Amino acid sequence: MFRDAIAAESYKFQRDRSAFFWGFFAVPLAMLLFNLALDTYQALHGSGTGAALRISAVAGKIDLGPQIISGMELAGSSFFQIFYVAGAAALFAGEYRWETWRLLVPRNARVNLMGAKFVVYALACAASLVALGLAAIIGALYSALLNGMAPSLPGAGFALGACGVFLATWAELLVLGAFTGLVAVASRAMIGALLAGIFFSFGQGIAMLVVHPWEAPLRFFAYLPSLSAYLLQAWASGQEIAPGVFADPAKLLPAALFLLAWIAGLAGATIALFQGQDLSRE
Amino acid sequence: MSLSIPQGGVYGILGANGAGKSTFFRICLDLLRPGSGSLSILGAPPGNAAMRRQIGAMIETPRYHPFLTATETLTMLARASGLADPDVTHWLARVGLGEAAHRRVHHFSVGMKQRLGIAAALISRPRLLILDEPTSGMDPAGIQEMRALMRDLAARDGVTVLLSSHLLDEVQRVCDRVAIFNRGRLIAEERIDTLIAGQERLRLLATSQAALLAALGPRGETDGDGALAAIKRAEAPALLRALVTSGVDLIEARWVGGGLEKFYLEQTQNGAPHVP
Repeated sequence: MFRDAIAAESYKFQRDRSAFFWGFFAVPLAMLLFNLALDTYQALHGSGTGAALRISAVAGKIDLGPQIISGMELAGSSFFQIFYVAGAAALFAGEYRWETWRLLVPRNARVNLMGAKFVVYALACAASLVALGLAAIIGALYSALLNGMAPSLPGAGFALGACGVFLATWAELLVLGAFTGLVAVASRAMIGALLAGIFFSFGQGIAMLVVHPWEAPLRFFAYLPSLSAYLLQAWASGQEIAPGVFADPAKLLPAALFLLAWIAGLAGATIALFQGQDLSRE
Repeated sequence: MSLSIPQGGVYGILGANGAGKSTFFRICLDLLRPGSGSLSILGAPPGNAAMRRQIGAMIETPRYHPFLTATETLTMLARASGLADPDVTHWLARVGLGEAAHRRVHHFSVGMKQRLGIAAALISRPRLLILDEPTSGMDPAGIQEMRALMRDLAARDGVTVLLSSHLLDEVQRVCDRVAIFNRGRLIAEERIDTLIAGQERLRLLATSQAALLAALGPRGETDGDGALAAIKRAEAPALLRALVTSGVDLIEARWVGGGLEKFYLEQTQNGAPHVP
């Protein structure tokens, strides 16, 4: 029955083209177009360096590995998370907006129907991250072509690091979607879910301006899922979190557990709330 | 309230707005959780996984996802029900939406949405069909089709149809039994022919009203320019023969006042509860 609910939700959401595109594929497309335009402009005017060159031009070659990672990390930006919040709001609040729970609830268990929304959101986010990676590759290849450089394939350790960045970014988006879903069910309003999700994302972004990951106590990683995600991304990609400072390995496991707890807690609360909800009026 | 609905046939649920009909249906469909009491549908509580596939429902004028076509709507709902091979084309044709199959539901009229709702309710070939105001917004031809469909489903396919409607004439034509709700209470539950039996009167019109009333004696009473005779249908031939024999020149004879509407209004406005 859970599989049936996922099949129905997936079928439906893929046909909600507006929400599907703007929620999950506008960011990869915008990133690609921006990079292509920037590279073209700079090539025509012979000034500055292309987007891809700035990230990973080494010895006349453009390394695709850092391109892919930086592309996926874009989804961690509060600005771009607005799009994911919009997608989540459309997905979780859609049945309230269109008054269609009365069509679905008699056909499948509530826990399955709401669980299916989480699965579809998670799959859409994963597809979006893959699209970000692909857009980064295309951008890098275009940049290499314009600058007469050769693209170089990532090194052996790249796959593990990319998987780590993917999982950390994905988890951060899942927390955001689960929070938006909870507000959607509680408020039964798409606009409420949208605004709450945006505040949640920007609130964390602002908090991270004053809470520095290299000195923050462990409890701050529990309070701020974005901080935990950032630490895991930095560790997976081998990036410094401050000049000469790398992610503290002792905080990695707690950070991962905090993210999982956020996802489980918010999704569980959403399903529990929906289980007992009066749907006589959506 | 305690109500037991027999399997098979068309069962009407009547009541004024706010009587509890929709609440009852919503509890049946797990859209609303009852604060107390218990309910068993086809032997299982509401929300039971096996039971869900055996119930089809249309609650009021259904709403749909505006970005889906009629075909996509039925396909999506069939998937939610776990149907491997839903014959979407067949069901759309059955409710007269074959030509609108690939149009977005957003552009549908109220009547077309009702028809799509019926198709959505029937697509899982349910044993129990719950219809809340199914003919609301339909044109006269559509209403006739809907009545025929309900009777057909009950008679030919053995489906139990649970119908709520404010159109009492429609209910009388289609239903076998009815329950009447009033302010959350059950005030009547019976076969329709039993409920309205004994309420009919034979209205007679003759050239002389005085002669007519004299011939009827205590069984007759004045009604405008005619008279009402309180008799059973079986007694009518003998009465008419007797009137003619006694020299009363009859102009018209017809049965009046035996409708469900009269009984319903008596029960909900003045009368005592009629629960056998």
